[in-house]
Amino acid sequence: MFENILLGFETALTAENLMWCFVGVLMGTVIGVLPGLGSTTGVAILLPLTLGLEPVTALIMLAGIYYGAQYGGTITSVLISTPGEASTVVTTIDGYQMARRGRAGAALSISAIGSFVAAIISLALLIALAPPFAEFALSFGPPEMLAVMVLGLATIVSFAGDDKVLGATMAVLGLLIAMVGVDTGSGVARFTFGSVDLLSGIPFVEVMIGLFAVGEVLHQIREGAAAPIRARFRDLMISRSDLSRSVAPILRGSLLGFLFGCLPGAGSTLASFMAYGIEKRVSRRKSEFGSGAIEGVAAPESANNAAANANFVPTLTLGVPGGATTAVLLGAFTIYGIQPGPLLFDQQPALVWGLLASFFIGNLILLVLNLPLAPVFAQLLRVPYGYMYPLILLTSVVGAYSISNNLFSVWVVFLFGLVGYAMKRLNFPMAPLVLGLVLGPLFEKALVQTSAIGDGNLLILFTRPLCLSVLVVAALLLLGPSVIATLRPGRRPAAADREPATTRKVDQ
Amino acid sequence: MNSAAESTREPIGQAVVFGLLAALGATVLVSSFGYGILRDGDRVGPGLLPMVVGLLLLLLSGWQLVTRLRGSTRGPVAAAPVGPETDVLGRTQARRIRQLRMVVVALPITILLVPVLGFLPAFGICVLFICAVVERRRPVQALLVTAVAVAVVYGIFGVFLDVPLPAGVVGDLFGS
Repeated sequence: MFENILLGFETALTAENLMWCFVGVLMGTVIGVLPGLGSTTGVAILLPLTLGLEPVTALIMLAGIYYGAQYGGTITSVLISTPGEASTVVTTIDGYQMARRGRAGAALSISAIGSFVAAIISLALLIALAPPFAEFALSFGPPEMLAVMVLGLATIVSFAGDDKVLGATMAVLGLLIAMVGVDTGSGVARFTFGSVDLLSGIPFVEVMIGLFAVGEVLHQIREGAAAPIRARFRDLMISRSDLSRSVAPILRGSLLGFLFGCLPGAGSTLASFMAYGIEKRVSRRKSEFGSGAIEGVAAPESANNAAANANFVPTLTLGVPGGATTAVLLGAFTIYGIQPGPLLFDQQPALVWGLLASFFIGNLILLVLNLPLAPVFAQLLRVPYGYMYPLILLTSVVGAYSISNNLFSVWVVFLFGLVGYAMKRLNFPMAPLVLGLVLGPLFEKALVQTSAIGDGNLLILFTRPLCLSVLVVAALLLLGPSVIATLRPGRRPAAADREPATTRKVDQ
Repeated sequence: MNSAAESTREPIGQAVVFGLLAALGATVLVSSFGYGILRDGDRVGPGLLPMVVGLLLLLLSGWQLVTRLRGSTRGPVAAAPVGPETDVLGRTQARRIRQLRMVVVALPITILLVPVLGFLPAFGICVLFICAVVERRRPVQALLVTAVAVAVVYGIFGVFLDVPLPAGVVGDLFGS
C-alpha cells in the first residue's frame, strides 16, 4: 500500500502532471462558476483537448475539472442562487440567504474548508478501500456485473425525485440510444437506417456535450439573467463560532457523502441533499435552516466533495460510473484505450495511484486558490451571459468535431442540445438517461455472456449468492419506499425533507 | 407570452413527449423481432434487449401519458419554473423566446454551411449573428467578440491540437 501511494505521488508530482492538475482545477473552478457549465459539461467539452496528453496526465486534468467545478458551482449558488453544479443546488438554500445577509464570504470560506476536509477524509477512505474492493471484484463474473449494473440503474431511478416512473423511462431511453449501431455480439446493425455514421453507434461524448452544454445554453437564453451579489475580500473572514458550528456537519457530511458516492449511479447530488436533510434533523438550530444556517452550507458542500471522490470507487474498481461526470470520465478512459475494472489496479498502478495522489494535490491547490480568490472568480459572474454563450457554443461544436473529425458529431451535438433543452423545460431528470447510455453496451455484453454461461438460462442470476444479494438490494431500493408507504399510509415524509421539484431540473 | 398560457402548455408538452416516446417504444418493440430475439441454444440474440427496452418504453411512457391526460395527481412532473417576466437586463420573456428561436434556427443553417464556407468561417458568422442580431450588441463589440472567439478556438484546436477543421469549398478555392 505504502509503495503504491509513493508511486502515486511520484507520478502526480512530475512538473507536467502538476501543471495540468493546476490547469484542471483552475478551469474546473471557472467552469463551475459559469452559469450553464457544470463538471459534466466541462469534462465533456475539454476532453478533446487532452487527446494529445499521456492518459494519466489527461485523467489528472479531467479529474481536476471535476472537483474544481464542484467548488466553482458553490460560488454561483451562494452569490446568485443559481447552482453552477447540480450537487450545489441544496447550497443555494442557506448559502444564498447568508449572502443576502452580507455573509457571502463566510459561506464561501466554509465551503472551501469543508470541501477540503471532506476531500482528504474521502481520499483516505478511497485509498484504503478501493484496492481491497477491486480485489473482491475480481471474483465478479458477467452475472455479478450484470447485477451491479441493475443496481446502478435502480439506484439512480429510485433517487430520481418524486417520480420514479419518469426516472425509469429516462434510463430506458438511455439504454435504447446506446443500442444504435452494430451489435458487438452478433455483428447485426440495429436502428442505423442505412447510415454509415450510425454503424458505430451514437457517439457518447457528443451526446453529453449536446445534452449538457448546448441544452443548458438554450435553457439559459430562455430563463434570462439573474442579479449577482458581490463578495469582497474582507467578507471572506470566517468567525471562530462559524468554524466550531461547522466541525460536526463537515464530518457527518464527509462520511455520508463517501457512503453515497460509493453507490454506482448515486452521484454527488443525492449525497448533498441527504447531508442537508440529516443536518437539519440533528441540528440544535433547526429554525435557522432555510434562512442562512452555516451548517446548511457546510454539510452538503462536504458531502458533495466526498461523494465526488467516492464516485471513483465503482468507476475504477467495477467500470460502472458513480455519476454523470464519472460516466463521461469512463468514456475518456475508453478513448485512451484503458479498461476500468478490477484489473486496473494491477495492470495500471502508476495511472490509478497517480490519479488518486493527484486528488490530494488538486484539493490542496483548490483550497489555496479558493480561500483568497473566491471574490475574483465571482467577478466572472459580471460578464454578461450574452458574451459567454456564443463562445460556449463554438467551443462545444469544435470540441465535438475534433473527437472524430466528422461533421456528423456536430449534428449529434445540435440534436441532443434540443433534447437537453426539452428535458430541462419539462423537468425530466438527465442522470438516469446518461447512466442508461453509458451502461447500455456494458449491460448487453454482460447479458449475452451471462446467457452463454447459463446455456441460455438467465435464471442463473438467481442461483449465485452474490448476484442474488445485489439484485435483492436493487429491488429493495426500487420497491422499498413504495412498500413502506403503502404499509404506513398515514406517515408521509416532511415536505422539507423531500427534494424540491425545482431542483429536479438539474442533473446529478 | 404570459405565465398562465405557459403553465397550460407544459403538461401538454409533457403529454406530447410521452406520446412520442410510447410510439418510439412500440416501433422498437416491433422492429426488434427482425433482429432475432434468441440465437442458437436459446442464447440472447441481438433483438432481445431492444425488445425488452421497447416494451418497457412503451409501458412506462404510455402509463405517464395516460396519467397526464387524466390529469391525475399521481406521478405528476412539475414543469420547470418559468423565468422571470423581465430579467436583470430588462429582457421580456417574449424577447428571450425570440432569441432562443433565432439561435435554434441559426445552428443547423451554420452546420449546413460548413461544407461550403468552412468550419471556422461558418461558425464565425454564426457567432457574429448571435452577437449582432440576437444579442443586439454594437457592431464593433460584436466583431470583437467574434474575432476573439474564432481566434481562441483556432489557436487551441487548429494550431495547438492540429485538428483538421474543414476549409469548405470556399477555403479550397482560396487554397488552390
